Amino acid sequence: MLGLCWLAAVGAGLWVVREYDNAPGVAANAPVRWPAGTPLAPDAAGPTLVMLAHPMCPCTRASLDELAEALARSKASARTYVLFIRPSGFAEGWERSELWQKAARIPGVTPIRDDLGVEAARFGTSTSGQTLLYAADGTLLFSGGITGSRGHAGDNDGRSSLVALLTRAGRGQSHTNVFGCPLFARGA
Amino acid sequence: MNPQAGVTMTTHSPKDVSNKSIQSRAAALFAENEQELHRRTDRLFAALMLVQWVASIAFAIWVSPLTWEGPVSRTHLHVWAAIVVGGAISVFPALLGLLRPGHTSTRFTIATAQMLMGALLIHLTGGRIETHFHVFGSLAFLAFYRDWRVLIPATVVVAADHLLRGIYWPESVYGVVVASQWRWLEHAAWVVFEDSILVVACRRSVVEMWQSAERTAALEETRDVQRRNAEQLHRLVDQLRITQQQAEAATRAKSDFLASMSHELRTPLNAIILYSELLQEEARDQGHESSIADLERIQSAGKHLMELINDILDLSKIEAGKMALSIETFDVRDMFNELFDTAGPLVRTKGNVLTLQCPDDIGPMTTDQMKTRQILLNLLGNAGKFTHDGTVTVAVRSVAVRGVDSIEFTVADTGVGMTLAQTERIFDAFTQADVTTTRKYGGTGLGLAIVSRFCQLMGGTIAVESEPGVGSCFTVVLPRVAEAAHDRAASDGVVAVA
Repeated sequence: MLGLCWLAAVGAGLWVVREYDNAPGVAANAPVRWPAGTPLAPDAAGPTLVMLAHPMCPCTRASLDELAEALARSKASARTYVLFIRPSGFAEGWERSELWQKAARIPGVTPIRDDLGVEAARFGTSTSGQTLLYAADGTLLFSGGITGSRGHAGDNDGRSSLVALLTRAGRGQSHTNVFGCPLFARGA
Repeated sequence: MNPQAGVTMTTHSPKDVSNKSIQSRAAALFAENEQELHRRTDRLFAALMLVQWVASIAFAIWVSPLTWEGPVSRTHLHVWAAIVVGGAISVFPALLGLLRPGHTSTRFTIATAQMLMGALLIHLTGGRIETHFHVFGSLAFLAFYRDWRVLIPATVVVAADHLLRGIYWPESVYGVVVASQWRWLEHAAWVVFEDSILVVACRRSVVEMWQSAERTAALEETRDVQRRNAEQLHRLVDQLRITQQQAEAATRAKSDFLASMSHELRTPLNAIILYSELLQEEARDQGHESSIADLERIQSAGKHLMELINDILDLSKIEAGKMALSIETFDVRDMFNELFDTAGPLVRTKGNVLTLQCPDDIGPMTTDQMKTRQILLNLLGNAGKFTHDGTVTVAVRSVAVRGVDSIEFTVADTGVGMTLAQTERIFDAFTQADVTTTRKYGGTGLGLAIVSRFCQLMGGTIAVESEPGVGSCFTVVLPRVAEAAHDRAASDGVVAVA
């Protein structure tokens, strides 16, 4: 009986953890066309990839791994930006975290500071790891996360769709769930 | 679990009983060893559980310490999961391992917990494929129990984990949003594959444990038998010692009795001999010739009886350890001159020729002269007694025996001789060559027994070579200095060669 209670307690604990890890963040309401006014320069000759990231979110480590994996698999030279938000109240340089360094090491990726999340808001995103793919003509091709769950690296639909779109090998899903820390405080 | 179970004993011979005893003891030893193995492994896993728990907390703090909402941070759920869920997984089986080691339920709980910890660790590491090796490592670790049954709950947990995740969160385990409902079986099959190897290993280990228990039981049985034999031997030795002491006491009592009785007998016997001699003189003086022959018979019988008593007295003194040596230095050649004056007429009585071969420079001896003379007189007397119209030769020479300067006396005759069987018992007390010898030649049968004991007493040896109808040759070797050979006196024996 004691053993069954123990098993039930452990099972419940694991269930809670799994539920947390598999609970998607708030989906982006990304503009269907490349937003005007952004200082980011889209690639007129090819797709442009934008990932919004919280510099301290541990879940985003897996998103960056998947981004590196997708770019390596697609062998595409998409212009890629990873925007690291810097909320108010944090000193300059706070955003240059381990994740920033990780993004900087991915070939073709440009990490950029997003003060106060202005660009994140412009792109309609609110969850770290949100990935947007725009075509050369500025059309939104993909909006979603590229991990299977929070901080969980490995094959997933988001990355597969992204690779398919980058390589034009087929049509992937245009929207997937995104898993990561909220970019903005609740109610902000 | 007894691998030998099912073997039925149908006979009850002592060997079977012993085998049954060994099997029974082996079963007990096996159970004891198995229980100790389970207890030890339980404690090992208890420690491992706690180490894994601490490691999972450290890992969670290192990898995902905080979760963020914009500028606001708080402790990441993984840290709490490592503390709370990891604790729930680890503490209960760890306590069982420490408080109830050796119970079947303990190791089954530990096996379950170990795989649950694997599931948690996989989760905390973000599903890294490398962490899945924890599952396979844990299975191998569980094989330490050498109880293949613990692999069952472990495998069930892994299979259930994959089944549930496949249903509810397929991406977390298969990397696809929609997976086949049977795909968990593929993953479980790999676990079962390892299980099958581990089951074989466990069973082989159990067989080896059983064989080891059998060997130990057999060894214990052997030691037990040896111990019992040793105890029995000690008892026998003790009994033998008591018997020996009793025999020695009886011998001493007998010798004391004989010495006492001989002394008591000699006094009246001397009177008989003396008075028979006086009566003979009176009979001659008074012309009673017819009585003289009877009186001579009385005197002869008395002397024979006296000789017998003297021999018995000597022998009993030797056996009672009361015969002491009277060491003196004397010239060997001079001793023979005197000896031949006494023994010469006796030897020559039957037409024998007596010769002495003794170098002039033979030198002196330092030993018991009286006993040396008695030895040689006895040998010469025997040679004269058993030889008719033959020769009796005495040879003397210096020899070295084991580095000890010695004198060798040889008394050889051309008399009746003896067979090998006769020579083998000629030195025993109350023994002559055969029963007819006493009747034909007289004697007490104690002479050579006393001679051989005198030789031993003086650290020497006596040997005889003989052939029926050809003659006998007695060889006596005595140390020139008796004290020098004292240590050998007890060990040297009598050698007889036909």
